[in-house]
Amino acid sequence: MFWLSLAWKSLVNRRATASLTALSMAISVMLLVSVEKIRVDTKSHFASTISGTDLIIGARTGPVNLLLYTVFRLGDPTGGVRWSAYQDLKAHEAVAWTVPLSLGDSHRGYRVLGTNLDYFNHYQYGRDQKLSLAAGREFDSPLDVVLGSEVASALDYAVGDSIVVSHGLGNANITTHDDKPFTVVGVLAPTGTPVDRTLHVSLAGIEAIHMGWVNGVRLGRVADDAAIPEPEAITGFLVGMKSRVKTFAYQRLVNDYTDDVLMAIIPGLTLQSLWATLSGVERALFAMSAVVVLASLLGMLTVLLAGLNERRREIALLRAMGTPASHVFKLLCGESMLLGAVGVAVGLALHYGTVALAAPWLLDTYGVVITLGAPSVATLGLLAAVVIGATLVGLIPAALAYRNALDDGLTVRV
Amino acid sequence: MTVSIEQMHFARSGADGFTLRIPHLQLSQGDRVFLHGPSGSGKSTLLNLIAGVLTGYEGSLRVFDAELSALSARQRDALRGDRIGFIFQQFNLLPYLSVLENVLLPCRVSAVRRKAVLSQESLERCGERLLAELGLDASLFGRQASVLSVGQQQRVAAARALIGRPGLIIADEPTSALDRNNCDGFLELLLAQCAQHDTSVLFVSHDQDLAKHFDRAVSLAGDGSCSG
Repeated sequence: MFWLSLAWKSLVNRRATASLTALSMAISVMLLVSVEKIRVDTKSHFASTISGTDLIIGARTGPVNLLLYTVFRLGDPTGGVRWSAYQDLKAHEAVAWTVPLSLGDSHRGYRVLGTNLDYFNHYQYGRDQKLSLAAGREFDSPLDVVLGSEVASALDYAVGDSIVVSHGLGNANITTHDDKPFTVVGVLAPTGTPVDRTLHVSLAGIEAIHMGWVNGVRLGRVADDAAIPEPEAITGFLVGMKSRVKTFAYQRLVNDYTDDVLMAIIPGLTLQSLWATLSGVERALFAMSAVVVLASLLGMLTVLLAGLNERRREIALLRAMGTPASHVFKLLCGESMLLGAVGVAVGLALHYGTVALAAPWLLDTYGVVITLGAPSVATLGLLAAVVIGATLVGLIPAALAYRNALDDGLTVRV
Repeated sequence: MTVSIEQMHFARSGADGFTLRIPHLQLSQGDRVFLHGPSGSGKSTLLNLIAGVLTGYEGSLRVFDAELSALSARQRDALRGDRIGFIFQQFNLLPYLSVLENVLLPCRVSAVRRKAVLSQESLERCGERLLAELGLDASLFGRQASVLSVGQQQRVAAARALIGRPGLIIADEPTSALDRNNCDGFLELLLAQCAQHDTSVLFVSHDQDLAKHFDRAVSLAGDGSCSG
């Protein structure tokens, strides 16, 4: 304890260099911890984009691709599921519920999703949270639309507003379904998932606006009171099983289905493999912040080595008083350990400050929820590694001081 | 016997070929010995040998009746810390500790000296008493050591050497940075303290005028030989 307090006082005496060293350590620790935090939070956020759904079924394509366009509203659907096939698979005895998904239109860059009321009953995200309405009601008639929270806030829409949907997925589409405007009847509460960026209409609505179109071209006006036909196909559908045990058997059945070329994916597994493709970036980021920590440790080594010569007298004095050379060694190691510990403490404080300031912005801009919480076990491990690293780096000046102490004797000739 | 040297021969490693020969040198308890000699005569080498930070001599060097060559490094460190107080020419104090903390340092390192103080009074009380007896103003006790004048620093160094009543005080040119008045005053106070507790003193200086304060003088010649 005495030696630690001596090391501390010696550090305080050299506060200008010591505090700068600790600060550079603190900044590197903040970077390291923040990257780790964002990594973990993004991952858990990502994994909770969809939950409660046992299988996602669509035209045969890559599993990640199917997940991207059905859940993340990214990329183009490569094909569809024939309505008859959907009806057939839906009627299977192991199936508890299905939610049909029909994509292909957009509104000012936001995707329009055709579905039915089961969507509001069965779609879940996060920890089995259901969708809830912030305003209005679910859609009822074909030309009703329920907006995701981001669509409503970004485009400043409210219940009662009228919306025209564009044909296709581009942002600058000139072919619009302006003959069939939709009416906003509801706005969903924020979820932090792609649902927020989606406009939800009924399947009938999708059919209604495409009446009189062939191959993406409008051939003529259709009478307003014309009957809306059954859809010929949908993009895909979500399936909830009566029993999870049946999932794999049903998945095989879908994959071997002969009337249509389909595939079924388990969302959790595919989310994981999608995350694995993104994790290269994540690892690069982590490696970079680890290198920054290494650089700050080298900076500390430089400062300690530069200060060593002036401290030879101090060490000779302690030796004269009977301090064993091994204690001199411990003193120097203790010093770098203290520097590391102060760096870690300040770095952690900086991290929490930054998170507190940046969290609302991250949520608004990227929909990523960064939580302020006690450091995780992994983070504590990183912090311990930094302190241990600092102590290990301190071994170098300590070893030099030890050798000097033996050479110098009682009086130092510098 | 505080220090007893018989037929000691020490050759410094390296190419300079310096050797120190001491046929016979004894310090009994309470002896006050003045050691002088030109620079390069091996005064520092002798002090380092007695302190046990320098090893590898031939012959006999006994400090408090222990043959140093028979002790481990740790044992020599303990012997030095427990029984010898040092005063150097300069840089005696840790600049970042207070005056009193500097005085108490030997008691932090050596349990023997700590117990010697605690058997009579508290550490702080003892440190303050010694500082006062050496003529340091009480207002300075809590100050950082780095703000003191050289004369004040030497008094603090003396108090530190004396705390815990070591059997031997080794003073290596402690007065060479002081003016004549300061020097005499400092010596008188130091020697009075040593006389009070029958402490041996080995005092090194190139200033022969100071020899009159001591029981006897030993001189080291430039060739490393010794006469007393």
